[in-house]
Amino acid sequence: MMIVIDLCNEELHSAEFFAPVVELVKKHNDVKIVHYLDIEQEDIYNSNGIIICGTALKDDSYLENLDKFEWLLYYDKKVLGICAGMQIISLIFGGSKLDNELEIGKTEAFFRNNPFNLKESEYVYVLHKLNVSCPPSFKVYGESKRCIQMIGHEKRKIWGVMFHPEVMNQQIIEKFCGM
Amino acid sequence: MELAILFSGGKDSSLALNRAYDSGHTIKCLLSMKSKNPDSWMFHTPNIDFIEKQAESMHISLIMHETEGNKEDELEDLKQLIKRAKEEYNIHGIVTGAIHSVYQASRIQRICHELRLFCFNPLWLADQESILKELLEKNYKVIITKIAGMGLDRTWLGRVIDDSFITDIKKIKQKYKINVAGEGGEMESFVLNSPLFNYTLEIEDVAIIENQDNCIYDIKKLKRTEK
Repeated sequence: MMIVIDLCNEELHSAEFFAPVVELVKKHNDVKIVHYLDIEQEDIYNSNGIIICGTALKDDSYLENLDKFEWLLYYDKKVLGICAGMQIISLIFGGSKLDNELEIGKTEAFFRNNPFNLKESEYVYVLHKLNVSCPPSFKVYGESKRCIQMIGHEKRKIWGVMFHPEVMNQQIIEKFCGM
Repeated sequence: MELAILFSGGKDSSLALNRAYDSGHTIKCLLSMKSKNPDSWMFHTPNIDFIEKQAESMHISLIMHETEGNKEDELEDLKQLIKRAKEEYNIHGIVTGAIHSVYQASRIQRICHELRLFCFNPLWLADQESILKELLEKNYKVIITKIAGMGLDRTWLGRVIDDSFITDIKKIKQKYKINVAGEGGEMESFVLNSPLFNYTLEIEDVAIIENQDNCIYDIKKLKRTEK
């Protein structure tokens, strides 16, 4: 069972940032959907993977509740963080917030040896105002001109993408489900 | 939250409005752009003058703004419209009916960011057939007012979206790979009744306009009838 985590503070945003990911995952896995404020240890232990979805530009309440994600430090299954989800992964593992660099829309990103078989150059859909650094024990798999676009843990199955693969490059979610 | 809806009078912005209302938000006003460019990248054009009748039926204020419809100028016009809504109605966010247009969605996201407003796209990436079915479940009355897609001829104009419409449009999709909800610009629609309407609208007079690459169901007169 895959857990898909909703970060949205507003229900109306969940339809936009969370539901499309859930629909993609449902094609490959049983899904349990949960809001990040309601995550229980039992859910985490019973899952075989977790996706942390993104949220709206003006919604950054998750940054005030990073303690809700400390389970990431010991969770031994696969994790994919999307946009805000990648920010959380970085910050939990010791990365830092970088100067705000607004990115909105379709942009070109450059990838190398990435686990999702993206080409060296791909267009991605981005919607964020906060950037994060690559934390210790992670490496950078992709960048745009403005910021890091993909990170992955060196030993564990934890990845983060700054862009929204549910909009463009849906194969990332499909491949993650099959890992 | 107090919100304004970017409203075209068609099914998508109406359904987005419906979703926002059902989520408990307060709808302060509808915002419409009247583009002089019939091929506008951002704004739907048929029957825009009758949006006022829809707003009246829903008892929601409408702000209409005219734009020449030049590709980037119309974005500045849209920004001014949203800014006006923020100042006059003290809104905190905008709702759109965007489904899959990265072009539209990213530009509106940017405007909202610049004006420090929330941006909601509750239909984003939704399955297009599901959208049509949701309209039926909610007892919408929606007619087709413009067709511009392969396999769609003037007999589709004025058709009500119902079960037989969905069956027929799926056949067209199989043959011509169109989007069944018209997200690719294959068709435009006009809402005559929705759960938020206090009375239904009915067409009294209409003209068909045939252009080189599209046909328009040009509403001339509407009347109100009790629900």
